[in-house]
Amino acid sequence: MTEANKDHGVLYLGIDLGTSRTSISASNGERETLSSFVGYAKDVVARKSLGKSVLYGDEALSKRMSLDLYRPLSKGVIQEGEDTVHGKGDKEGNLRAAADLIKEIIARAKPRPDELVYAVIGAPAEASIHNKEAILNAARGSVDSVMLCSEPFAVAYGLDMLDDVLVIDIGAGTVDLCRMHGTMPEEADQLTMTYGGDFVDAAFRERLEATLEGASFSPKMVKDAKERYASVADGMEPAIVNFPVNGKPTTFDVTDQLREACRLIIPPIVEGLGKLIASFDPEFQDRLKDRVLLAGGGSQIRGLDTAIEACMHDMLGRGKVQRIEEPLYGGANGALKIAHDMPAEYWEQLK
Amino acid sequence: MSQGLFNPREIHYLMAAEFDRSVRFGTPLAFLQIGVDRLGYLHDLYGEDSRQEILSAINELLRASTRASDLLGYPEGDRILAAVPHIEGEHADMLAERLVSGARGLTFEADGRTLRITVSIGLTHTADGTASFAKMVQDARDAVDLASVKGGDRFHRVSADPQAELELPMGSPATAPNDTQFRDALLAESLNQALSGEGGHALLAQELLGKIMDEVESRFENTSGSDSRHELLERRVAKLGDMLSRTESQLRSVLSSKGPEGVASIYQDVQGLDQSESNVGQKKDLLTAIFDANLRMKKIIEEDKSSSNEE
Repeated sequence: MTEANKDHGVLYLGIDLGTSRTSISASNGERETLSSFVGYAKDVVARKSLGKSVLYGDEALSKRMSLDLYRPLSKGVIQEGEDTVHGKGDKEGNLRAAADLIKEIIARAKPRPDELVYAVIGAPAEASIHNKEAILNAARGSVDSVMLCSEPFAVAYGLDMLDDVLVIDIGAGTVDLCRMHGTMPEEADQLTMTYGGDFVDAAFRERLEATLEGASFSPKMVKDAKERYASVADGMEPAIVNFPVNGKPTTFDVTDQLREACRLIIPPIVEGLGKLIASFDPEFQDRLKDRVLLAGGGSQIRGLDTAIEACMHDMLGRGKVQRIEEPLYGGANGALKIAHDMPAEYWEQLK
Repeated sequence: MSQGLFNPREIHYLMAAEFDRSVRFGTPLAFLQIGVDRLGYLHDLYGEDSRQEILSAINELLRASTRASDLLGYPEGDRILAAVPHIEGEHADMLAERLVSGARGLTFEADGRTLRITVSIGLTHTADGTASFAKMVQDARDAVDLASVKGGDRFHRVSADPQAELELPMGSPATAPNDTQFRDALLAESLNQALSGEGGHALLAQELLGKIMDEVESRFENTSGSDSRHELLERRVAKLGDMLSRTESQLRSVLSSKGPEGVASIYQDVQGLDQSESNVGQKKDLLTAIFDANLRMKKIIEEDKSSSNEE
């Protein structure tokens, strides 16, 4: 990004680049979230009928028949293989889609052409250097200086909870667990698991296929139903969906299938928490158990905080879980706080 | 004031979650706001070390009197807030009573004399028909103000029915410094006047208390000429004035060049890392660690690129 004439201040951005959703919080008060989909018009006819050549988010999903659709992130990083469920998967295409997605989300923060743009991007706790390089390369075309930080760390920083806190960040691709103890989390403080929203979608879909004879449904229909009704509570709201059977809309009650699928993520999460707690100073283990933050899109599953608490009581003896107020913006808000707290000379050095 | 307590944002989060849980499961919950009586004056007279010593002792008393699962934090100023889940109203009263009584037993040495302190406690309980979390917090705040205005060394429990509100004035008054005794005498005199003037009508007298306190404070300030307090206030005003003038100056500069969109440019100056925050050093270390990690990554990437170019 050229620096010419950028002499009227700095726009700070916090970006949560997620497998399912990408969110941004900006220092000018703008904030946006969009599904992490990028679609390119398949041909001239499609481009003409759509009125543009690149579509993003839900708009891209809804027009996917006319598009080469990419979901450039998988398990929180830019994917390099095929993803036949969610979109095309060639490496070059995904890199281009990731760069376009970042460019679009930054454009939605409305930066002025004459101000510098400094961004902090939340990356999965255990992303490899290769993956981080790919994210940085994708971002560099749109910002003047960029830093990466661990997603769960950003959440905790944003809430000013830096001491003796466990963060559970449930994304679509991964669940990141991070132990905060006043210093920068190291490798031993972080765990990444693949029991995120996509895992729940797949488990829900399996159960639907096994129980709804003759019904047909797409991954998007399964995801929509999950996002509408997801709960782990015994007395959850009935999940009633309409799926076609031989072309005729038919009503199904999928409450049990959805609840079962959602509950699958609880034991591995608590096991992971147990590992991080067990390797912590014994004197502070109880305090850690009482300060568990639940963040990320997956934290919107109803009753999940209480269910994790109950499982912690069974497996670890005690536990208190707090769901953060804004699951969709928790990571982006934290990244923004890091961005504007960061000394100016650090930004200069990373340009 | 940290001393291992939750900070304002943390305690607010945790209390809100406890309140939600209490509503969801119908379990009882109490909020107690605890303030040390006349702490500002003790600070002015005996200095910051004494203030810290008093707060540490109160902190210890609270920890010893509550369960490990109760939440303790400092929501504002020097007051401490305790969120106590799964406690019935009568037991919450007993806890507040125990705290008031425990504080009376604390002693401190300052300038060669022995000081004793008292506390005021505002108590709200879900059994008293609290409509919302915000209301419950506000009620606790109002209750501690009321307990303090009535002379301190007591707790006040808010109820939906004002006539049923519980208030327990406690035993022997603490030994306070001379000027504080003088201030209390002024307060007592004004209270007696108010109560007798209104035929002893307690509710009306309560409404008058705020105004009376203003007058008492004003008379006390005029009479005692507390230079240190004035100095403190002047420093605060100067600090706020400085922040305001920096903000105005930045706004003028940006607005004159680019219009209202320019407010983004002053974000770091005005809302960036607050140097007065208690954990500012820790945050600086963390930010440096993030920067170092990114710098290392940048170097590795550049080295990889140059070596692949050479090949």
